[in-house]
Amino acid sequence: MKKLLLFLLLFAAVNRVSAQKAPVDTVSRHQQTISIQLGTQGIGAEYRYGLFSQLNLRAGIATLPVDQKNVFDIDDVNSKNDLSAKFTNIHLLAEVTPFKSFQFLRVIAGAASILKGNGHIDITPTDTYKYGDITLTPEQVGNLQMDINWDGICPYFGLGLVKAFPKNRFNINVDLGTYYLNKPTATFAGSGIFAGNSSQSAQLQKNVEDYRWLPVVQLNFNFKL
Amino acid sequence: MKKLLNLKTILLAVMVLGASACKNPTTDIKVTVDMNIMKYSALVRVTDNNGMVIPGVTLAVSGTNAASVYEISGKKNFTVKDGIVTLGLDPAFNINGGNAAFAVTVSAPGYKSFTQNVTFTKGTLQQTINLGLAPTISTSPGGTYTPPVPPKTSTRFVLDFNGRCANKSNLNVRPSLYLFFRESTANNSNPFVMLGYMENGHIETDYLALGKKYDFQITYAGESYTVTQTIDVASYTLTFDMGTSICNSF
Repeated sequence: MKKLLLFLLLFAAVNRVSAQKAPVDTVSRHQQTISIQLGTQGIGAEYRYGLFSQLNLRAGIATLPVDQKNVFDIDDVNSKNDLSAKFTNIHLLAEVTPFKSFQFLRVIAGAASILKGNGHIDITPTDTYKYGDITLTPEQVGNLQMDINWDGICPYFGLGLVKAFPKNRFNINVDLGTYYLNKPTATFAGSGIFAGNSSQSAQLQKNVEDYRWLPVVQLNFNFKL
Repeated sequence: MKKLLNLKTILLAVMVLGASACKNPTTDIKVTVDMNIMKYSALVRVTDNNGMVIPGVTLAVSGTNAASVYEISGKKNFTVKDGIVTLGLDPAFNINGGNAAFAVTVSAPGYKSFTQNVTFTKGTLQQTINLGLAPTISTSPGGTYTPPVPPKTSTRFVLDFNGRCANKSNLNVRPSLYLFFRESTANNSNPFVMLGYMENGHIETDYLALGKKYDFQITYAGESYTVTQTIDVASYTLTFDMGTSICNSF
């Protein structure tokens, strides 16, 4: 991360020096776009500013609401599960076009603040539960809940494909990258006959501690200002 | 709307792909099931007049609310094992509308039958009924008795018990049952004495002593399960291997 920042600073410095020697490349400098984004980090909006000819700054917000049913199974318990994930981040990125002659490729790095990073899973037994000869009500059976939270500031790095700024009024480009999230905190809880499952939180925490990569595959719909 | 759902599925798939190198979040999670479904229970312990276990004891439940009374496993089989059976009240019984009253009749070959009225009263979740049967040749009709109470020690012990199922390794049961104990001997000659009621596998007691070895026993669905432990510290988590019976109740 430090090396990347150093590279960006050096790049900026070199850019200034070369600007004194040669005519300023105004391909992207001072250009601005507003983007609508759609991808694995959800739906977002972003502002892009051409700081130097090959260095752009990007600031934006993205939110991801996902609801999905029956993502996984639990051994020995016939169940259905509902997953809901909510990710909202604000991010600040630096975008470098390393080769002036090949503006198709961009290198992107930066950081995001995860305002809301939560995955919640409800696991409800599907069998008609009987205790001996006694049929239990759904309230008596209860359910299991898993919560996983990612908070804080996390780095982002990735590549961009297609030019950053549209030649005319509009273009579409692509981001491929990943956030490296903070280590999540996880809790496991239950109700009804499953009320004693908070003791499994430590195991869940251990199981999800490597869930830190949030891949980004994203289309940016850019409107030149 | 359908396309939007598909898009969400694709997004989720990419995210799952990103996490595919990670463990399944439910790996090694042991789902814990609590047994305290019947909140009202009564331990019935049947011995002879001297407190000794009688072989072949049978128990029948009759009376006004007998239909709402089950063995603690939720079955209607009131098998007495080692002189012990635990009765429970159907959780659907509306105790706010009145007490649950019934009678238990215990019999054994060579002993007089004895009938005892039992009432589940709102707020009294547990009760113990000790019945002493009189021999047929005795003039005594038999009756209730008070068993000896073990001496207390100066240490408070915390015990947590789990029930392990033989056929469901990822299922863990926290028993809510009456727990018995005895000091462990080579010939198992000591009688079991009630330690108390454990709620969701948890019990605290000052009837144990450091450095001694104990057998702990529960009776469930006509079977007794025992675990042995030398008590060297004040807190233990112990496991009853309960075969398949406890899992089959769920």
